[in-house]
Amino acid sequence: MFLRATTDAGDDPAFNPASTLRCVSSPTMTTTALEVRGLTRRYGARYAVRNLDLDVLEGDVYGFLGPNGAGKTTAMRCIVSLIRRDAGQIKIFGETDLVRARRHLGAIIETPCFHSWMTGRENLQRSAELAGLTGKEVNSEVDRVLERVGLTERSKESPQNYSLGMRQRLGIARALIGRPRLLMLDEPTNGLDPAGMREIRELVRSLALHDQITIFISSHLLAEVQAVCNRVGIIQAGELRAEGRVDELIADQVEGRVVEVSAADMEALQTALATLEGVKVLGAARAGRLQVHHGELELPDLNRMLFEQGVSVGALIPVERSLEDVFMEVTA
Amino acid sequence: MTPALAFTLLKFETRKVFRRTSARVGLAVMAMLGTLTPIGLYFLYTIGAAKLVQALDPAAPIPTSADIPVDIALKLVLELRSFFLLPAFLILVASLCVAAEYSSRTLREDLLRPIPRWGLLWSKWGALVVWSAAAVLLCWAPNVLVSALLFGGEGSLGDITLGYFVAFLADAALAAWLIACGVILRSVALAVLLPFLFLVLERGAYIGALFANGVGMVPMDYRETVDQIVIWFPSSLLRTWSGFHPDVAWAWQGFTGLGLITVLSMGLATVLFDRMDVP
Repeated sequence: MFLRATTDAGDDPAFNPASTLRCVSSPTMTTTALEVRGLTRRYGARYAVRNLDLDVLEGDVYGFLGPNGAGKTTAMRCIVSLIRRDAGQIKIFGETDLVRARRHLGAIIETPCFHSWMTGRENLQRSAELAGLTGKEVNSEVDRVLERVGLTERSKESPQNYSLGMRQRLGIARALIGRPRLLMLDEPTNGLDPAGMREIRELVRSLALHDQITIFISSHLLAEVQAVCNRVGIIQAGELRAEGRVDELIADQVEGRVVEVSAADMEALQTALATLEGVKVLGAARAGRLQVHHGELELPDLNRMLFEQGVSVGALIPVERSLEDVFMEVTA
Repeated sequence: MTPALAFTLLKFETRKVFRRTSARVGLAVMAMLGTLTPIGLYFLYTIGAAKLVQALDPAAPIPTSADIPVDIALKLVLELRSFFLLPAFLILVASLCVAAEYSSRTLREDLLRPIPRWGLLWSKWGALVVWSAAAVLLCWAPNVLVSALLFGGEGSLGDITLGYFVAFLADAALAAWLIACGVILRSVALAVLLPFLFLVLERGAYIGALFANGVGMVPMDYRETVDQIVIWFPSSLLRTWSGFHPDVAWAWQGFTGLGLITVLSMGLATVLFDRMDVP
């Protein structure tokens, strides 16, 4: 199964990644931030990543999903050239030389690590120097990124004294040095408490919306991804199983609609449903309700048909599908 | 890679090295060695020798510091420094440069920046060379000053200084070898223990061979062969400064060995580092 969405819609009133895409560039001018073709990495006979194709457009907040061990981190390590790839081509903003391409790239792979004998600020200063900044540029850039992640006041402490959430934010600050156009975050909320998760989520949203950075974020926390991303790719066993806009994937993956139906006479309800074409009983949702796949049939029509067969319907409650449902179906 | 980026990388790695506690302790030990060894020798040769002479023969003339050639103090410091102390610290510092950064994942963070891998690796070697140069200076300057002050200035200062310079070249070669060890072993414990063990064994074998030859344990027919073999030992290569001894000629094998160690080690390390998967 391979899905690729085409429409442009977002349903989060506070943050609409789709609108971010429109802000950055019109559809006709869309630049590909990250293009991966046929990426393959083997460990012995086992494929960690196999023939992976990805397209991340400029302005996307792209969620890279997969169960543990699916190959997300391996793919990201290949993309940032921390590990060798056995086959495939990677382009970052059209650049195939990945050392040069890293000028456009900021990344956190797994938990960010710092020199514990340096302060947070000094760690950032060293990274700024490696990013090619010199003299006053170093300090002004470090001030900017510290301000951006809200760590200015604690910057003179060793990262060892930071909480996990603060270390993640310092990692993001380091990734933001040099104003990258593409930010790759590998499970940035891993190990964080709900408050820490929310901090990182808000920061990611803000970076996409206000700084207009293309973000590639891997996670298996699907609610997080659904809240933040406009497009997702789902990987399993090293292979891409689905890719597209979040809303479209949810809509497409359902392959029809699901509704919970309640009636006073459950036996009559089941008998009536069995006679309806395109309607399938999925099972008991809870006491007194059946979960029904109603295919192309609209709810008013379903209600009317059941009424015509003498069933008095108590409630018809559409079941909202989530990215988690899509994920479970794709990776099942 | 531009010269500006190369300089930035070297500065970056050098700062990191000099911030390490073991690197600072190493420099302090070098300075103490250069200062305290001549002082210790002075007291040993004068007060200690005077007491010994008086105990044996109260009528004998008491030796003074003027009776001791300054070269002894200078050479002793240089030998102590180069044969074991400096390599021990260099092993520690080098293991922190490569293996520790690999283990602690900070190497990964540096490699996420737009810099070529070989540039980062060579800057690590460069930083070790800078540290070695600082160690040489911190040992040489007090050694020469204190020795001259205590034993008089009539020594072979030029030869000793040349000896220190060659010792520095040996340090650079050793640093290259240790960088290669770090890239291959990738574990701090192994990158410290194995080179250390190798040094102990190799130097033990070297000294043992020289000793055996010296005291006649080796049959006469084979002594020349042993001499020709040990001159190729890394210890011998790392002690090319032994050429400052009046009776020992500069050994071309030593310099060739230094060059070979450096080129082969850094070449191998560069190839492996470029292909290395970084976690």
